[in-house]
Amino acid sequence: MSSTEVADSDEYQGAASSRALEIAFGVAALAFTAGYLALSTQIHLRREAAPGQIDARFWPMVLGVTGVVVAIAILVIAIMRPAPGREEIERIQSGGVLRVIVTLVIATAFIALWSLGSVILFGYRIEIFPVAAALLMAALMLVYGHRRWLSLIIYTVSVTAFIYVVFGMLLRIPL
Amino acid sequence: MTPIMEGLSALLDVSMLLYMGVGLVLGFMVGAFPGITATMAVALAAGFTMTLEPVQGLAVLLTIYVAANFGDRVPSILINTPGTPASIATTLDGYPMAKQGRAGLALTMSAIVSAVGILASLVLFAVAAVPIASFARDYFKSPELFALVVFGIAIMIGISSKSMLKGIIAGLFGLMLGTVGTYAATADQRFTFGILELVEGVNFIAVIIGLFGIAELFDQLLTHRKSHVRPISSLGRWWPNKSEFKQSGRATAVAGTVGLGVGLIPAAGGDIAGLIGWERARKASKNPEAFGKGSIEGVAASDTASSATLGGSLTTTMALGIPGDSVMAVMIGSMIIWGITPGPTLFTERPDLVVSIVGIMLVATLLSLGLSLVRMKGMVKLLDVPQPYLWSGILIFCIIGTYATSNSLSTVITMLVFGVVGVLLKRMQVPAGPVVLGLLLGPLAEENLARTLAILPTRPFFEVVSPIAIILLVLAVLSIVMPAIRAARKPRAERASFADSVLDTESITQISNAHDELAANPDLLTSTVRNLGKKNAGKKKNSKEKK
Repeated sequence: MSSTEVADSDEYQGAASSRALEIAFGVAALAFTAGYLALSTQIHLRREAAPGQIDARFWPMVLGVTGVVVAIAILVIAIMRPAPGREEIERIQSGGVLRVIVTLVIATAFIALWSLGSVILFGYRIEIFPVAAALLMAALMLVYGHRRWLSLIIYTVSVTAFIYVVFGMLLRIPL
Repeated sequence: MTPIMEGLSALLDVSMLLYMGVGLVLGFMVGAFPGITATMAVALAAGFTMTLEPVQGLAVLLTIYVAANFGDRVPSILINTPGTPASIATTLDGYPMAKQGRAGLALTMSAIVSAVGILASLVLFAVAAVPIASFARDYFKSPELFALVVFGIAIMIGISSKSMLKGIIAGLFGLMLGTVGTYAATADQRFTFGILELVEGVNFIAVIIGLFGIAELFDQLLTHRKSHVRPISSLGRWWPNKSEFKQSGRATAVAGTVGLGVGLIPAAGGDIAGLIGWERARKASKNPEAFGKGSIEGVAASDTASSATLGGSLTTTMALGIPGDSVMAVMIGSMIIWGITPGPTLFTERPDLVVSIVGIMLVATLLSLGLSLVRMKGMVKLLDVPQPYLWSGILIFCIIGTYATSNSLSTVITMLVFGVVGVLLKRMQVPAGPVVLGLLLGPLAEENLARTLAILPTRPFFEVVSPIAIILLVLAVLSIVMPAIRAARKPRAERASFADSVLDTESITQISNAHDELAANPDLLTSTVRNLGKKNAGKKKNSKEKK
């Protein structure tokens, strides 16, 4: 019979409700929909629509106006009423935001490196993708808390080789 | 050659076995890892299957869809955490059974009834799809198609959103994304900002991988904490005896009927069906008081109902072109890229493909059942895979999968942007389903609205807009208004969770009491009782304090 201790950290932790967050969301939604509506009025028409037909601006303007109305309603409710419960979504843990930001930075660096295609080094053309992919995997594993070097190297190399062989060589995707 | 023979012969290829094998392994794995949904897996796989033949690609995607439906029960039963949302209801009785040392029995019963549910739903698909498609083909013109799209998006909003306004804004956001690119009627450019990549519109695969794959990953990165919970490894007896089969028969029948019905409602998936099926089976049971305390009937009911939605989802997707659930929305996107448009005409243009789809689902179900019964013990080990392996693997495969759709790094950047947008929406409880549906169906809605408005001045209103269109539009309004009214009538404290919004108060109280009893019994296998039980315990405490 297996057993584990009941630890507080294992309990489900719902996110706290926040009126400020709801208001910020309402403002962002209003800004986005208003911006969309403004841009939809600026759509360049090559020719006017025939009578009874709708032009390229009509549908976006319908969506824009509806969006602005809904966003205003969201904002008003966020200001006037208590913030709704957020038990359905888990609480953000310490270090969580940093993990996401670092992941984005690493992914962006990987894309930038990959965009180089290949480099000439010591007279040899070296493809960047396998190197960049291996670095990406290793960096992510380290950021996510993996500290066993042997398994890190084996996993990184095997996943990179799998992707390069299957997608680059067999499926002929120009990596 | 008849379409049936053509459809079946397409499956008689050795490569199909390989593709279904890949789908099977992937499906089981994503099902078993909590937090990785079937939608995410299908979205990710969609990137890789673009280069395959449609039947081969569908074999991978549909097998993932089916296998995930089996795999997701494992964590529900062993660690009280649903592998995908479709197995939420499995935790209600599956986990208490595991705590009583009957996990093996729960896993086996779950696998058997899941197969029964899917097979029954395939019969529904085979019987209902052609008449529905024929009806739609004969009676659905532009106004009806516009109304159908609005109905589909409205249902998705009504079902997936806790806040209707947030659901509506999500749907509008998707529709707005659908306007980016060239307007087909006049070739005018909209919201392209001179960027060549946007002329053909926002890349659908990049958006869905971003919203369902990267956003889920980022959410896990945000909320991850060290857990001391280990799966219950004492699995006990595996095979149900005759009386247990007999006991589960009624629950399976009742919940299966619920699942088949819910599956036919566009956008309604296994999560809702599982909970409703569990509740209906409890009411029909001879031992309703045992539900929530480790009843094998409860496991049979929840898993039959959630699995029985698959055929219904497939029916609305293939016959009407309106996705039955979020996985099917992704599937439609993939099919459109292959040059196949799901909808009424599919049955006349590609009847062989419809036969192939049924064949794939049938074989995938039987393979999944076989694998479930043979390898359940091995699957338990999947729950122990360290997160760094999982997260880094997901990210690189999301990147490669997106890149493979267009061989362009700008698509990868689009995916990452939508990943960030997706996680922000998720944190604000804005559902991603309506966004995807809006993006997918927006151009169709605009096209049919344009045609309707062009015809309208030339003929009497009711000659153009048929009763079908009016009924669909009324249902669309009701599907948003009714849940909002129902939610408004409940006290704020009682609308906390998804399960609370589906189940009635009596069921919630029974589940809460059952979990309290389980937690208080020192003789049971120990682990944590979380989610519904804990939340309701908290609520009960608050209400006592108020009194």
